[in-house]
Amino acid sequence: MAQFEACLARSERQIRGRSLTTDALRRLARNRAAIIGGVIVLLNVLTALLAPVVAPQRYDAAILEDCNATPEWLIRLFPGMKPTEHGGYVRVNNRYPLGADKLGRDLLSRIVYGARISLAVGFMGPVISMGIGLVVGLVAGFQGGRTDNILMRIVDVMYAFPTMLLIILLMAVFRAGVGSPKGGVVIGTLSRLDRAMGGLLFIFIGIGLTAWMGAARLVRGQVLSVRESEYVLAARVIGAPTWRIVLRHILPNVIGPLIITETLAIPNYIAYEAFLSFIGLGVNPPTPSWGGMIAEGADRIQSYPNQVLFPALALFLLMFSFNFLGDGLRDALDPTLQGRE
Amino acid sequence: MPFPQANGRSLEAPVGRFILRRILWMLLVLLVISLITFVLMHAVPGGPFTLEAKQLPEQTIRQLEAKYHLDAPLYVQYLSFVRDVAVPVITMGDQPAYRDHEFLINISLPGKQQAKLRWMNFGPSYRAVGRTVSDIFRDNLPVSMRLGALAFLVTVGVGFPLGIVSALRRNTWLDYAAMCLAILGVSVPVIVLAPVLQYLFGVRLKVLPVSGWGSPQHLILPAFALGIADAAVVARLTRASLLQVLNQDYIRTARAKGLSERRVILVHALKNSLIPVVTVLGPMLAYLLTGTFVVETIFGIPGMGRFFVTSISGRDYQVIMGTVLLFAVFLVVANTLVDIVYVWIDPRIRHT
Repeated sequence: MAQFEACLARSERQIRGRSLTTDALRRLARNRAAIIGGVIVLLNVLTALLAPVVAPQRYDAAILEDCNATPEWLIRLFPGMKPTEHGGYVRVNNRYPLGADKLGRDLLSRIVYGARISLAVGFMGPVISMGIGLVVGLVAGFQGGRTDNILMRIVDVMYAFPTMLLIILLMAVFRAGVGSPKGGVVIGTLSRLDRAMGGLLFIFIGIGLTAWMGAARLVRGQVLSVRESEYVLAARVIGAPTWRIVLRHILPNVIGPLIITETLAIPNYIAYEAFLSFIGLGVNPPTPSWGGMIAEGADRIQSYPNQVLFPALALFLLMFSFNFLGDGLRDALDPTLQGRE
Repeated sequence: MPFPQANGRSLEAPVGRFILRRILWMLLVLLVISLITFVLMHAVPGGPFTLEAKQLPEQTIRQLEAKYHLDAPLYVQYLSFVRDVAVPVITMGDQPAYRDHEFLINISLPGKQQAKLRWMNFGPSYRAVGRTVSDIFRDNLPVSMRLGALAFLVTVGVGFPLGIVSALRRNTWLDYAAMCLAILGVSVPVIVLAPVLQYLFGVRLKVLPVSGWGSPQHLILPAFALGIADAAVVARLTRASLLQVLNQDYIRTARAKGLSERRVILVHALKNSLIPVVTVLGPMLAYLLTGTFVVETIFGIPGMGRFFVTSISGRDYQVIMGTVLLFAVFLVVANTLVDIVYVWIDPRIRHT
């Protein structure tokens, strides 16, 4: 009997302890890949925040005499790189842990500061696309009828627009608008803000404007499925205003799946920024971005492979861990989706 | 094409109407996209001859702009662009040679008067002197297409087998290894994969050229750099979808009536598991055929991608419009084809 009571008490404790959130957290904690991904992301965030402390030098401190300097261990790692003492072309300098770029700037410091850009985009991209997607999806789903029809056709057209081309076009519009006097107050303020942020603002806007359609469709679908439910009807009957129904009854149903898809999309946003910086429409130099560093290093891959491989490795690691984390989060929050795309 | 029967009545009529409606919608989408592009592109300050304006007298610039009708009101410029691209023209008699360059499609009609049916005049390039946008398409599009097609082969050739094998050998080391590879592939952007491949195979092993264009060997690295990420997506999708199908009752039935495992997989499971994969393959193909910018830049390939970025900085309006429209056509056609194939694979899907 005592045994039975103990068992009962234990199960009660368990039942009390298992809310939806703790359940999800427990599932997440059991997913080893997601934990590893989370740790790497966290390390990246810390490095980005503490960049002035972590980085051995300033990211824009150029010492021209040290251009393309390479430490000894890299020369041993890449057999093609012959030091000058042995008739080669590489100047050995152990002051730079990963070497220096063509302007004599420390590669490691630039990679450390570059994490800031990638993470900022990885954070703001989902926020912006979620913001636009939420508004469009809520309005379309809740209003229905003609509004819904028009909004969804806009989404369709945006889907057919080649994303890369649209982003490039938008960036060209933004970037060229910076110097022009006819921009007006809004553009002028935005440009000044953008310059203060090293070119990040326009990247946020550009990515946000091209990536909200999926979120809008998702939100609309969720709204449609909840709209006719009894509790929304009940809320309506007791005279709740529309904004309250949206905020209290519809939004909580929408936000879960939205967060999952946006987390899974983070690597895409990071890749977009890297791509934009790669073709020279991204952040303004000398602000370091991994994409821009890869572009600088790409044409010297034969002589200085370290200059392209290390930024590439950093970009890969961050995207890889965000992928693992996103997968784990999805499985944890919605176990029915497990293993599905 | 005869469509499968459902409920004993032919689907042919509704499918015909469905296709017609899709095509009309397609044209509307293209029109809207061209309008958006036109507006955006003219929102960029400066014109195609802003650079020259500092060196040339104002009179010359004005004449240049008059020659290309850049002095006309914007809506006139847009409408005449649409007319030039959309309306086919029949020309008679001996025409100057540049007419052939202007149009993308020139078909000689039978008859004595040297009649030619011409269609899709995308206009001249302002920056590439003496070339028209149609010329650029003719010269550089095949390059991008060949690269894209090969990358698509990589996508399908690597993705499908990987996904099928890991689904059939579920929870074995093979499955784990394949899915690990897949998640690796998904996380590697082209700008990372391309330099790594270049270093490994071009610099270190020296078996393939680092960059350039010309020989078949030049194609291999770019095609893999471009196709691997999508191959990973296809592999994951195929695995998930096949696993789901294998759990269905009709698969158990097929096994129960004594069919060989190979027949169960090949005939009953694979086709149905393809449906979700086909939906992503269409847009993937369109993106691969067109979205090859990065790869073309890194590997120094003379395709379409390089033109787009330079045409924007040079305000080469006709090239921008032409490229966006061309890519949009690929995308829209691919999506429409997917919709149609979808109905064909799975007759249960009712189109609205």
